[in-house]
Amino acid sequence: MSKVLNASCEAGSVSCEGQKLEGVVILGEGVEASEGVLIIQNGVTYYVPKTSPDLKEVITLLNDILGSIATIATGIDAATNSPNAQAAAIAQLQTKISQFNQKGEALR
Amino acid sequence: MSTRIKTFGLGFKMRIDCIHGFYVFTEEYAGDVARFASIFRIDLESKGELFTFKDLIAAPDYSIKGADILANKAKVTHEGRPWEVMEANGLVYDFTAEKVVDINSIRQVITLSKGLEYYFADGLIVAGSIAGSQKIKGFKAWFNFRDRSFKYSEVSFV
Repeated sequence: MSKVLNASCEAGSVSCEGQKLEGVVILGEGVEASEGVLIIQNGVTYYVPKTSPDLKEVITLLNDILGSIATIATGIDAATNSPNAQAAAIAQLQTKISQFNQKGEALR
Repeated sequence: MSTRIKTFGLGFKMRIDCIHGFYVFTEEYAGDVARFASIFRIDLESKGELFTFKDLIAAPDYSIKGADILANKAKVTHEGRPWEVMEANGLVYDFTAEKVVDINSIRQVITLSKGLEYYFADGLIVAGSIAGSQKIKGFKAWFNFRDRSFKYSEVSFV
């Protein structure tokens, strides 16, 4: 038998029903503040963050990054003698990579 | 013309279990729990398939350390059946005070007499009562409707 309750986590500290709990096994690094569930089972408590929305954002960013790479690669393939022709696409790619890394840290 | 009241179907005994201060009343014949409640003027209600004191209907199947549990502060985070949660938090139901209390707050001393097959005590035991030098945490008992006595087949101690 186990019990599942709504809980939250911030900076590695899990709270449930207004109480901060000690000794909770956090599944995930719990670096970012998150909402999740507390599972009580056999005397052990676990916290599982609800990461689905973050995961969707990460996957969306990854798709965008891959799309940018494809654009750049296509451009390189078609390039003749025009340097910096892909500069804008490359800058956009670097921005997306940076966003992806941030989301990946939060997801962990 | 005389009037005879049939008593067929009425049991002469009813089982009472105390599991770490959580009382469960089990009837052999429908209506026995109501009879018992009427005799002692108490409120018993059904919680799923069992009958218990009205104040224990809301006994939860979990506790969060520091949060409220049955008007007490939970000592541990725990999950399980209501009596398991009460035991983990050191709580019992004091039916004389009609509230859930810390087992250590029960200071009542009782005499538990040992018979051939049963123990005997005066009335229904409040969990936490002290018999000899030991604190009672639970028991299995039978109430006899005929002589209104309680017999205890098992008694467990802290």
